[in-house]
Amino acid sequence: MHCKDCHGTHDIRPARDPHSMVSRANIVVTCSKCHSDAATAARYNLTNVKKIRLYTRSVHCKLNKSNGLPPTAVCTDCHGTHEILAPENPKSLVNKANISKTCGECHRKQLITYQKSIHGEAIMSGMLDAAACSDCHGTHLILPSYNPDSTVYPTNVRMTCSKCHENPKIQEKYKIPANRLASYNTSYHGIANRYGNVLAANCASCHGSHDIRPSRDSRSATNKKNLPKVCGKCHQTNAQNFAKGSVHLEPSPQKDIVVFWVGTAYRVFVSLIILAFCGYITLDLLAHLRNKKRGNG
Amino acid sequence: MALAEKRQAEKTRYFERFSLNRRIQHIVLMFSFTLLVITGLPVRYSDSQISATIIQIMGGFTARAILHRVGAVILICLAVYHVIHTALTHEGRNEFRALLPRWKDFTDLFHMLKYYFALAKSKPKFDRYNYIEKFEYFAVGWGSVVMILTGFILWFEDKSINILPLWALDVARAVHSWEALLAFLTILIWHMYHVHLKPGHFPMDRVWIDGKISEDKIKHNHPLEYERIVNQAEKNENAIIAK
Repeated sequence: MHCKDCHGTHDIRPARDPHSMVSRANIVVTCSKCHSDAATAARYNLTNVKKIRLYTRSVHCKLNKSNGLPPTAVCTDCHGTHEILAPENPKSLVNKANISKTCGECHRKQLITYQKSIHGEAIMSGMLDAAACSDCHGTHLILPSYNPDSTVYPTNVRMTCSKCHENPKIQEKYKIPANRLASYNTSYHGIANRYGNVLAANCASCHGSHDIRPSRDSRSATNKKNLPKVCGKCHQTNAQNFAKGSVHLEPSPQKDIVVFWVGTAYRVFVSLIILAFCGYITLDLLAHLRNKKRGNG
Repeated sequence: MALAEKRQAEKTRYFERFSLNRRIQHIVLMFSFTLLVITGLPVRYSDSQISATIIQIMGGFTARAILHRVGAVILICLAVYHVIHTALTHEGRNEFRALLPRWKDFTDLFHMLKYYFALAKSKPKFDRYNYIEKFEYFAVGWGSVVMILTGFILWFEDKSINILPLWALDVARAVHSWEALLAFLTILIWHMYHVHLKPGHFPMDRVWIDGKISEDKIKHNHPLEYERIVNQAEKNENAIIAK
């Protein structure tokens, strides 16, 4: 890898010149020379040559295309220029500890919100299992939230969050509650969501996205104090009653007791009554058989 | 032979068991119940492939929800009509009286069980409605009340949450779901057996369509009612003769 690979030889121009090999308009093509080339990739053990192809489908690459302008974010915006390092390197711009600041160069507002969230605080204190921008939004193929293929599209959010929140190791290590996905999936919100309804609440509708905080925190959207207001975003009322019960229903003798016992009573009652029906029908059929035999005999 | 049978059929006398009004009520109930089951049970069993297929055929989850409410409105209208008809008409009151449970229904059931275990020689003699039919009538009534109440709580959840705590809405949902399963299984097993599969009724008793019951059948299945009708007719005849 030499200077000339990116900057050219006799036609070197400053990066701000649109005709420069390293201008925003051309940099993707320049990087692709090596990074989309299977032979080069194999020689230097570059991971996944498909990344640039994925990038060309992303919102960063496509947003300005119709206006004839360069992409909104290009390779060098995230990876740097002369100081490009592998993501595993703690100094890399795309290392998990740094990625929020890298994205925040453009997405300023989101960064400020994110830094105050539990995920942002955890990353800053060195807990790199916490979600950074790329864990939810992806890396090269970032799509806007209204695109059904996006990881943050309403019907995909539950699986995106579950990558970490349903991971038993992470649940154990950080003492985060289990069974969030299952209890969501069986709720009416969850059922509607799984059948493609984008209006039904998903994880982010209640918990927020960049500003997620644990429910014990009084600033959290899911704090009991704030629930009426959060539910009221969709429901036509801010009733205090929204806070009297569980949103993630887990009927058991310890939690959600009334629902548990009503369900159990019905289970027993329905089983007994169906059993009685079947028993009665069997007796009735046997009586008919007996009569028939007697009639024939 | 065929001719003899035809003559026999011509001679058969029929009695009206269900009036046109009652038959239409039954058909409306059947239609709304089926619609409610098809659009409702897939929510209870949302993980099953059959549910996914049914919801897809209906045009998605929102279409399913709308159809379920259409079914609900039809059932509610029928329920209101039925109560008014029962309260205000001669026919409605008579039918309701005939359907009221009596002590005899319990002794009839006990008698029938004895017969099943070969401890009694003959079946109990039923009146216009036997205990099975009475049970079904009040099961539909009870079920409708529960389903309409819990259904309204869930349909107008933004209003109910102002009055009820969140957990009460979850209880309403559990009750609505279990009661639905109970109603579905009762119709599927109990009702279908007694009107379709029971020996002598297969493939179907036509009484729900034409309302007619043959003299043979009424004599056999509802002897007390038959005797009463015949006695009444004789009395009327005597009255005419006496005049």
